[in-house]
Amino acid sequence: MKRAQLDSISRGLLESAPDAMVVVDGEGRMVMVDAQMERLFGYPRQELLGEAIEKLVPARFAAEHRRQRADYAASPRVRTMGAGLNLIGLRKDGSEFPAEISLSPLAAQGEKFVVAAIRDVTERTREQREIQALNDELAERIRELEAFSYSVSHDLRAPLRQIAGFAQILQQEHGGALNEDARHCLERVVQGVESMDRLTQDLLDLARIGRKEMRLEVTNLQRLVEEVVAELRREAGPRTIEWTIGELPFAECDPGLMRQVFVNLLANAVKFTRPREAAVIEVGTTQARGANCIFVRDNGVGFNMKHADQLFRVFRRLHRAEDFEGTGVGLAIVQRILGRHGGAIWVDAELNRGATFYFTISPQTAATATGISA
Amino acid sequence: MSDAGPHDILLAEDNTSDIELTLRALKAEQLTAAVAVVRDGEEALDYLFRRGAFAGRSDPQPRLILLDLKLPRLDGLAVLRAVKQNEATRPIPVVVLTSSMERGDLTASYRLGVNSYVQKPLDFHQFRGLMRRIGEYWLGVNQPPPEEALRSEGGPS
Repeated sequence: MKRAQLDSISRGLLESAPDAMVVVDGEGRMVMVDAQMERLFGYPRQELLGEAIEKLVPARFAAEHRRQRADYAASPRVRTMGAGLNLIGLRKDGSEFPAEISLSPLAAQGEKFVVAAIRDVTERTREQREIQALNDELAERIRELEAFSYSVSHDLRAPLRQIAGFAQILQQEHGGALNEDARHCLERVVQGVESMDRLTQDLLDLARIGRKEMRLEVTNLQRLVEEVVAELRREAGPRTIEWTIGELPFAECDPGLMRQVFVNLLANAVKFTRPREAAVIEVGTTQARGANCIFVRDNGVGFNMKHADQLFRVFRRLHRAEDFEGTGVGLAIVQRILGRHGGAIWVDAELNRGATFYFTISPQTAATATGISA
Repeated sequence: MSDAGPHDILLAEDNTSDIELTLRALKAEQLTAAVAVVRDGEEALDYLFRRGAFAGRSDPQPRLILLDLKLPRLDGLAVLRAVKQNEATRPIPVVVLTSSMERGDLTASYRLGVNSYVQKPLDFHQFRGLMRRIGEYWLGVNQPPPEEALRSEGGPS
């Protein structure tokens, strides 16, 4: 290859680099600049060549820049200039921009040069500031939410307790002085307060699950379900319930939270099979929607699938409170827990025939599931 | 709010309904404890450290402090901290009585040395039973700190 060819290749390389390139000699004078330099700083090439590099630095940083340049000359190596510092470039029109500068030493015929690649990071800096601002806002929202739930737990429950307390005193100490209608109204007051107390408690539980730190452990789901079922059996008393527990796998999950998932799903199954003389509740694994999932099936009252989308929403209920008690938070909690594990839950039901809940615990198996995912 | 001492219980509670419910519960359970009521955290400390409006108080310290956490001016945790950091008040049993079961409150209270932490139930019947048990235990079963335990160490014995 001829010398002239080499020269034009190296110049072409310089010109095509995405960063602005400048070569500075031992005295800090610019000896070579590329087209990007002209564009970035707004100077024609001839106004830069031979000039001190500090021409491109705001006056207030010039002294510091000279010092850094001397440091670099003493121990030259490939590095980012002023790593971690905000370097500022100065354009011909006096405007400034944040810059990132990479330096590499270059020796040619006994003389030392430095090659600097300069990048305008205005856009990136702005994006970083926006991300920071969003993060700050998010942190602020979380603090607000925590203050809110703290306030719910303290300040909203106190007056509830007072209403309940005085209503009960009226019932107990002055019941004789009240007629039947008055006693009925008082009974309603107490019921209302009790249901609001349950609602606030459930909402607090839901909020807690959202912010609780997850502690993942390989968990024996079989044993976990058997424990939950034993507990529910005791609570269900003399009802006839046929439990079928299939073989369940080990799963990596937060055992406390996963226990809550099974408690809520199985307690629902117990509750909604109450009108059945022989309730049948089944837990097992199956393939559904292309995923390995766990199911909980019951032969209870079920529901019409056209309402299925409401099922996992907070405070949404598909049954009257006088038929089936509840606040409409249990399944929202289940969905939130599974969502935090990367899993999903969906349901298949038929009115008066029963319901089957399917869920996955980890994203691997949930990837192909297209159910209602958290 | 309070009749002349000595008092068995210092009740630190700002809400008049809660004060009334607590006093009614004690009465309904036939606990004859004399109760002094203070309405905020500063008043509670004034009472215990015999200063401000209580500068002339000469009756003995209460045998039990029932402490609400949500108190104006100085909150319950700050009161608890002051009581447990001072040698002369540290031995007085403090029972936190609160609406909240916030884990943070529970942790902070125990770190500060609370003697018992109780959530007030919604049901008044349960609340009465709770007050009976608290009263029976702390004013009956439990041996109170002897007088010398309520003096600062290093003083004349």
